[in-house]
Amino acid sequence: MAVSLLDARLSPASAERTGSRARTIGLTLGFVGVALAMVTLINAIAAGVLAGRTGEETTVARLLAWSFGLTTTAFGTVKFGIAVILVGILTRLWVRVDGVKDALPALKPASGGAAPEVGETPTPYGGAVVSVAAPRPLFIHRMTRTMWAPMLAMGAMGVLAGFILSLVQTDSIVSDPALARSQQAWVQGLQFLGEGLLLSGISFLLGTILGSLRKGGGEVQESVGVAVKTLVMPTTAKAFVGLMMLGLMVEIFQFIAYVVVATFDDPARVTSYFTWLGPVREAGLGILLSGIVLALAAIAKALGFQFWRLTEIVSRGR
Amino acid sequence: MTSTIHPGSRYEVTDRALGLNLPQRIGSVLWLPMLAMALMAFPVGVVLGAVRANEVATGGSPDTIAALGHFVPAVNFLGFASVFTAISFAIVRILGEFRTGGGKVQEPQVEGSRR
Repeated sequence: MAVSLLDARLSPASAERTGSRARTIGLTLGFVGVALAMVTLINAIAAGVLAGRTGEETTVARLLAWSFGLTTTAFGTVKFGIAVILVGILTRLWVRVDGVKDALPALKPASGGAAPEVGETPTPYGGAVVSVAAPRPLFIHRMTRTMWAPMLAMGAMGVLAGFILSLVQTDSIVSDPALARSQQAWVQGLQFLGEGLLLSGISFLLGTILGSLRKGGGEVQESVGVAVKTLVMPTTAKAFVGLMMLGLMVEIFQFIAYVVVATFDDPARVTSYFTWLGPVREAGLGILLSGIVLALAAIAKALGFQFWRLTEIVSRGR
Repeated sequence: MTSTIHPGSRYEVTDRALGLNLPQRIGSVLWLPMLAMALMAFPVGVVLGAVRANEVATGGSPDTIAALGHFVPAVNFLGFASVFTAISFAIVRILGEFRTGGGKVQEPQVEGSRR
């Protein structure tokens, strides 16, 4: 799927179809996620009502156990929906590139004057590299193109495995509390690793969009016979890669820590570890989301640069 | 600047490129402070969580444990609210680039037709 969608150029009709299908699937997944979150809301209200009654402690504990699994699954479903919509954007991005390629020769003035020298040049959007041909993809772009699908697949599996385990945990709460504690640790570790992988998949998709903007921009300029100006990787893009790696490492760390906690027998020790692991796993997701902010800022900068370059070609012809 | 708004298809015809609208100007200014706030909130949450875990492990004051139990989610949710706001503002920035860039690409054609 990754190769057919992102490496091979789809025909406009095919890209339109794939993009529309991705949008429909993505929005459906979004609605499913919200519906699952509504179920957990009702569940939490029920648990809240029962919590004040004597003799309902086990029921409340069971409700909260699978409610946690379902809440995280709801968030995971929405994230997966966002990823599918990004795939749709990627397929349509190439239609835009082909459209500009078709339209630009008619807009470009015939005499453009001397072409700029090959090398670095300043632009209103930062430094750019001038070359005669479209640039080759950077290592990070090749990596993001390869990694987004496995990340999303592993993330979905982690979240679902954790949800199934949370259902199993509801049975152990009465029969074997120690086993239930161990399962609770596994549920949290697995689901938040899955959430981290899903956000990493989204980050890799945004990286792929950045790579496609770079490649497409080069192709457009090369096709009209002007010097190819390519924006030097912005600082936001570099920081994005760093935050994404850091966030993913935090999520892997919390998973390992939860697996270790699952082996503890002492309930007090388990509670103490759960207390600090909660904010750590949330921080991991927060760092990944911060990386996504920077990726979006880098996309905004790349788009601004491309519009500036198009304007330069249309007005000066070089 | 002359401007004609077409309400049916909701686009505007002007004789020069438009700048950013108010939400896009706000988004361009505020995405970075929001991101900075999020990046400060999450480490604070981790530190408060560690302090609370220490109190739990060492049999600390129940009042402190209960208070920290409220502070930790509050700080984390402030972080999430900030980071999602930053994402929204960054998307608004992208929309702003489409708006201003699309106008600027058309502008040389308008100027060319005037000459």
